[in-house]
Amino acid sequence: MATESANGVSSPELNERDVVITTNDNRNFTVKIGVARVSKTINNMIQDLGESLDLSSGIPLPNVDGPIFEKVLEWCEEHKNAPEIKVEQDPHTRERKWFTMTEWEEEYFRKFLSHLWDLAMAANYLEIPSLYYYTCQKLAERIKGRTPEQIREMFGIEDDLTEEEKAEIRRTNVWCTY
Amino acid sequence: MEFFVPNEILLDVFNYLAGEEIEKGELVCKRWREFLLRCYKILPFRKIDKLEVKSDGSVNVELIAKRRISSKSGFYRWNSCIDNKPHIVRLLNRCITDRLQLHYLNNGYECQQHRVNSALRDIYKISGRNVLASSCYITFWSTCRIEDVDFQELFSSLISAAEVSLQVQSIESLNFFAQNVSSILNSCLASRVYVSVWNVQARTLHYTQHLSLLQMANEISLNHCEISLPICVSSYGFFETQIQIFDEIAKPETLFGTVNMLYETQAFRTKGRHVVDFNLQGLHERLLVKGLKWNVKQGLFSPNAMFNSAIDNIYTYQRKDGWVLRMTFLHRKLSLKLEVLPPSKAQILKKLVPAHAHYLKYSIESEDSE
Repeated sequence: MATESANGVSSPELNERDVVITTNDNRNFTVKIGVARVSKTINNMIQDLGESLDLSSGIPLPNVDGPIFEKVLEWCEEHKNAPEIKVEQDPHTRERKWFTMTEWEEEYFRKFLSHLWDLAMAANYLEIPSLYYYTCQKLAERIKGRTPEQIREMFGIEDDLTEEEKAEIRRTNVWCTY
Repeated sequence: MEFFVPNEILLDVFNYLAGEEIEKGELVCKRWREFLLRCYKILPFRKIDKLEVKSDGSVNVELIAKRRISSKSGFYRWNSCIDNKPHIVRLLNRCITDRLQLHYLNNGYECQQHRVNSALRDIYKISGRNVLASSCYITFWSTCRIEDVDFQELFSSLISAAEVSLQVQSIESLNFFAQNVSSILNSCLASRVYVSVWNVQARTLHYTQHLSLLQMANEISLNHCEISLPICVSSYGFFETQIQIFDEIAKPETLFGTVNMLYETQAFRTKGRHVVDFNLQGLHERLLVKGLKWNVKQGLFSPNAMFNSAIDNIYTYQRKDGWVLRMTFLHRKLSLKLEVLPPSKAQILKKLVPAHAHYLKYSIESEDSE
């Protein structure tokens, strides 16, 4: 804590200052530190760099591209003061309990429906639990009730299983209805 | 466009889905299939309301899974040769159920008997070990040779069941239980074990069988178990034998501590086309003739009053050495409580229910007219 306060890392003033974040397509994003810190990965970088942090030269994000980071920032802006989410699962079935999303969150995912996998990967890399688990839930929602063909079509997955393999799967999964 | 998602993310997506949705993923593409086959052990289970493992006595085993899907009951049925164990294990590994029901039926053809028995044992063992079931019901049909069953093996395989219910359907099976109950139940980790006996009429029990039953209850109480014996007692003989046993036994402490008999009111009434010659009035008179004291403070005995009364009718019988047999009709609960009280406690416990009581339940059923 002493180091943090010495660097002013946790001070409210620092949260209001801007930092430049560079994505893998060399796009620079000027972001309020308070917003960027929704990502635990970025927050750790800020803490690790301490006083040596150069706000203008930027933090590099080699695993995220600009268009996706833009969407992630939108989420971070909305969730900058949100409490940590709690991931729970049914103790018997091990099934994750579904979150109840706000109107804004529902609209957010509606807007970026075709980028859910990218969002999940970015949120995973950037360690943004709320975005990550909510996106996973949205993806599960998309899979639920759809046939394997519909899932392939929806996500652009190549059908690389032979008919024999499919027959074998149906035979072994005796209660499979697809 | 090549579709690539790290396994870590796939796992977190599938974790939001129910078992049957997950299995469907195997048909999407090779990578998903390989991923799912590796991860089934940590992914959500297929929730099944009831899973029955049945055998018709031949080498076929039928797995019947019942699942309530959007207010409609869904049934998965699968007939499989019991030789196909990997299939069954794989299937059962992915299930979780509130009720696992195993039907023990060993009436295979003579020439196949040995093979069928050993295969069936395997299946039950597999089911017990692989299905996460909160309760397990095992039925030993009257054709089952219960002495062929390795109970220790069977029970030790039911690792997940908190409750195990055994249903036996013949007096021979019951006798077997009575003789082996301690060793059988000691091998069971379940916090509660219910044993129920069907198709056994109380009046067909002779003195020795009746005695072994009551002593079995005593053994059971050492094992934190609860026994339910729904025996038809629509005859006075059952009570008379009970009193006789209590009167004659050298060591009353080897008998049950407390017995709860759950009865159905119709057992004491003239119902429909059946004229039941066994009723509460008759029982009341017989008990008094047998020397029991009736401790009710008000009014005359009336069967109707007994059913409606909030007052519990108590009958007591004291041996010469001071041991007391107490029978309490708890009408609001439709039960008859039998207690054997030592001389030292006969006075103290007059108004107390033993806190340690492990009940032997009897359900009195209306007996069909013969």
